[in-house]
Amino acid sequence: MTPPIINLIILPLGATLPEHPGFKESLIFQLTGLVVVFMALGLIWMLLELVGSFFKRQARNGATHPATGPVAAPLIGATAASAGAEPMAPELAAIIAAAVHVSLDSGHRIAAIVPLDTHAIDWAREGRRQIHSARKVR
Amino acid sequence: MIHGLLDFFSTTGFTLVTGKMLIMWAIVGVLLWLAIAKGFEPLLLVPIAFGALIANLPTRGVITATMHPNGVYETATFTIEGSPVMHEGVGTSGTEATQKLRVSRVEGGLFDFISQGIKLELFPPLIFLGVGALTDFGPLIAMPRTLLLGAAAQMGVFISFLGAGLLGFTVKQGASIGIIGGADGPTAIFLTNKLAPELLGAVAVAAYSYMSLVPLIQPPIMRLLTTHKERRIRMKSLRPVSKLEKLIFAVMVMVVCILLVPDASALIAMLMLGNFLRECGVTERLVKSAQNEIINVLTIFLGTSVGITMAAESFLAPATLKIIVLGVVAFGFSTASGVLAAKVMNWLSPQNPVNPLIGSAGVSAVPMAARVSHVEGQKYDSGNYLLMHAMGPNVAGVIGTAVAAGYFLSTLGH
Repeated sequence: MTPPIINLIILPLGATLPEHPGFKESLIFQLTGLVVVFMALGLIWMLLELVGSFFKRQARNGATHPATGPVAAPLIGATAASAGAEPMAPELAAIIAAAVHVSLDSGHRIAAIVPLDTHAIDWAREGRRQIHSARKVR
Repeated sequence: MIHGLLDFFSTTGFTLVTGKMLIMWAIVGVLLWLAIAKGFEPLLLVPIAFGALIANLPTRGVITATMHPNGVYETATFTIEGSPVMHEGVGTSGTEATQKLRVSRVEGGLFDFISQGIKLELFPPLIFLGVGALTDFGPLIAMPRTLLLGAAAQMGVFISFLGAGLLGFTVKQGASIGIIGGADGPTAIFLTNKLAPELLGAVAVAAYSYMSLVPLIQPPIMRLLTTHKERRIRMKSLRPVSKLEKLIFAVMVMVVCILLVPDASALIAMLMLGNFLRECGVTERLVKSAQNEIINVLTIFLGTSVGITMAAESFLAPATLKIIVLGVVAFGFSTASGVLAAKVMNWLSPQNPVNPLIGSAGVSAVPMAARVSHVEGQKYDSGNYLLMHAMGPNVAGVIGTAVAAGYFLSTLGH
């Protein structure tokens, strides 16, 4: 005798469902469908966890063992976060310095120029979007 | 001269306008009002409404439509005139005769040909190419357990399938109606065209209307099923996801889904192709085309092709009303099951809770459902940013609905 769980899976797939099935047949059919959806997405979940754990471990290793090779000196005084970054193009530094000079009234000194990571930008962008959407442009 | 004018009048379309057409004009007016004045999914509702208006005018040379005695309304058929040509040749098994057709004339209206994009299942997968190119799966990859919310939100699809059976629809029609609960227009059109093409207009209109009404339908259900404390849950920040991880994800999802439900291959393959193009970073021109020109052109053709199936003879039927009701039931259950699944996850894993409001985003109306979760969450904690968290179940819902459609096609489509 076939176990009920196997019946649940193979009955609707193996047998042709009539045009107007009974309530029980319909119920089994839709439960099977839900199981298929959960199986597909559950499998993707497990695989993602597996792949993700590899990448997370790699990121942790990267953080604890920073690159030991020679690092080009930053163009201007940089923070620890940007110490390993590529040197900034002089034109870009000049543009940023000019922008700071124009926008700040009093005397100023640029201590560091740190590139934003895209993750941080997403949240800032959402904040800006909300501020803009809260105001009526005239 | 008056006789000549009367003769001319008899050739105009005025004499062909019926009462049912006038009712359809009013429905078109409502759809246009929702799209233009209310801003509900205008990119789709405007072409659909305009197509519906064309369908309810006495047009010539636009579309061929026939109402069969069994009640099936068939549109977009064109005629090919030709004569058979005999060819004789020597094949592996001796002399063989083959017949070829020499086509002398192809006759049909504009939408007889454009609508082949739906009939031949071309438009929905190609729209998925654009959707893939527009979608960032990063939040889902960073928090993969939200895939379960996308799966749970397919509950409405199957519950309304049951309801459709109780209301006298066949299983194929029930599956087409149920998929409205997935809130994924292209998938609904893809499935309905294969299983119940006679319901295409009503199903597409219901699907897109409810997608546009997400901000009205979902919040009351979300509030009903959550406590004040749950709505204020703040979730941990998502980890950054590398480009390589995103590329692996696209290939992995495509392989898993196609192996499990081969009938959803066209949808899944194009969705992941679009996403792969986006994430690989070396096909910028192709991504821009997929995100803009391709999806925009197809949206116009898809919308008008769907709208043009909404002729009064087929649309003004009791079945349409039932589909509209079942559609909202499907949508409601999908929303509720997503929220409840999030609560179950919190019960099982209390140390790392999810805000149950993101569960409703498991329906695949991207990104509207995620925005609803975010806005609803901000009403109770203005500093709580749920948008990126809600994008996880939201894009999982797209995959879940495609898998559900694949299941229906595998079991009912052959």
